[in-house]
Amino acid sequence: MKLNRIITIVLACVLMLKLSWVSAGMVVITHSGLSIDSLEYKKLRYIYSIQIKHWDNTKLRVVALPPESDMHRVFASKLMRVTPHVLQRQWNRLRFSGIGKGPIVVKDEQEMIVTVMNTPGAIGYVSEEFDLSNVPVNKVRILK
Amino acid sequence: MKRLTILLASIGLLLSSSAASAYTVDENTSIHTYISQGMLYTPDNPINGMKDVSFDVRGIGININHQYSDNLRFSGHVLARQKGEAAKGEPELPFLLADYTVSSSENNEFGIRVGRIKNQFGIYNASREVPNSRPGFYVPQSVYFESSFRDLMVSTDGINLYFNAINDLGVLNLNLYAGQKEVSKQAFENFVFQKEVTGDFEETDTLGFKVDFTPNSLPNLSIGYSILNLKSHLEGMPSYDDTELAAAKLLLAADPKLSRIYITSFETDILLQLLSLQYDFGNWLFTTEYAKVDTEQSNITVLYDTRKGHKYESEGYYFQLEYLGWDNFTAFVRYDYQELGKGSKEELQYNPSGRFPAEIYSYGESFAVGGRWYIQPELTLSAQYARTEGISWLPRTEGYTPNDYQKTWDVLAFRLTYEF
Repeated sequence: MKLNRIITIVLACVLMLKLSWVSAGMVVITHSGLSIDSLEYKKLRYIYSIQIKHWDNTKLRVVALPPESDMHRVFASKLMRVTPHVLQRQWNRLRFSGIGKGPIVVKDEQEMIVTVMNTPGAIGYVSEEFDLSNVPVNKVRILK
Repeated sequence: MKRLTILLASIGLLLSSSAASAYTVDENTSIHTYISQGMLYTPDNPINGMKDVSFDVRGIGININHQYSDNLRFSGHVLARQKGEAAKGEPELPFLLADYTVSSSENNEFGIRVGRIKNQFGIYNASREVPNSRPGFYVPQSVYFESSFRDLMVSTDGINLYFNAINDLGVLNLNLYAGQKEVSKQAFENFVFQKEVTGDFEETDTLGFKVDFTPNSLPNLSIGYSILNLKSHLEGMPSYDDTELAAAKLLLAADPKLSRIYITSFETDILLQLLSLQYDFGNWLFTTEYAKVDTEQSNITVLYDTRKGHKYESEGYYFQLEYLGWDNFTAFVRYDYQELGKGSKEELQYNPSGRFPAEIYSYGESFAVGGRWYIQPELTLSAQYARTEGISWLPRTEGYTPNDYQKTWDVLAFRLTYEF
């Protein structure tokens, strides 16, 4: 009886935990030297709008797929709750006002993995279906 | 038409190349280029000398960003614009700067920019020359003074200190900048005097401050306050000996309107303040800004006789709602209102010559609709239609008298932009 109760509580906790983070079929990844276990969606949004530029004394390098790609659109709207148009305009404002630079734009997930793997401070995203078992990158959980 | 054909052919050539690869050179260097061609249909009033259908609106710009080290970044932007009589395609340098981050951590950042820096003022000012940095064709005319002191608002040769902080309350960005800027003489004279005068405004002292805040409890909201102070004086006026002075005074007594050619000193001090708010909810983006402009004209002498100075207040605001829910289209509606020389229309302080009737010159009220079609990732078509009453933000066209201007006027504008 006691064991049943413990199992129920554990399952409830797992369910709650599951409900409290979001993936939208994607995994946020970082360079292996950057230890981020989880991020609130707001912080991810601040990072991708280049407002948070450093993490643990490391300069962040934001990596993104082309703005017109379906995966980028889902990433922006589901994981950061911002439309891709708004994000693009924030990047344009940085670039064309001289106060910053936009993300490193890569052409596909393969290039995303290679860039994140080889660039200190890099943060990016790939599909959950992508096999990352032998890839030396960190996975980041995005909290709702 | 021939120019348009050439431009479209150029765009076709660019489209056939692999343009997107030029976007990011490597992780430290990026080059961004745009080329645009506009079309204006203005059946009622001329805009920068363009009337009815005109294709005399085009531009090309190149932006380079290089991260030299974690703390040091170089950035520059060069462009050439054709905009009727207002811009003739001469090369312009909106900014060229070095950005040094003095200290930085996850929670705050402090740094300095030197060189030609962009004036951080409101939402659209710092990127106003880039066609796709705002919805539609024009920046909101009520608060960005496109036809008068645009060039002074764009950038400053000087220094910019910045501080960014992120804490439990939200994200705070502070910018303080100061320097000098050469004046675009004709447009500024038009704003101050509504006519050409003897002497020129050569240089302006600029001092500005901007604060932006995004609360953690509402990360979709951004509020800001900007302040920009511009000071300038007329230079290069002729001097008069006793005989010339006596003769000039006789002529002036006979025709007081000649005072504009006998100005011997003039100073102006303009203080612009702007409140900004932007909020995105779902697929919608709401933006509003309110500007207040205090202008003081002092140390005015005509043939060395002191004249009374003037102080007047102007204001402008707009509300804008955008729909961003489609992948390849965006749409917006906007209401603009501007009133120049507020509260002093009867005294005509703002418009002492009476050259342009205050009852239509002193205000503008506009409804605009428009949108953008993302034909390809790199190719966009922007469109905007606006019906406006009053001509406060309408640039003056040489050879037009006040009676030539219509109080209510329409503009339909399109712009094809290719970015890579």
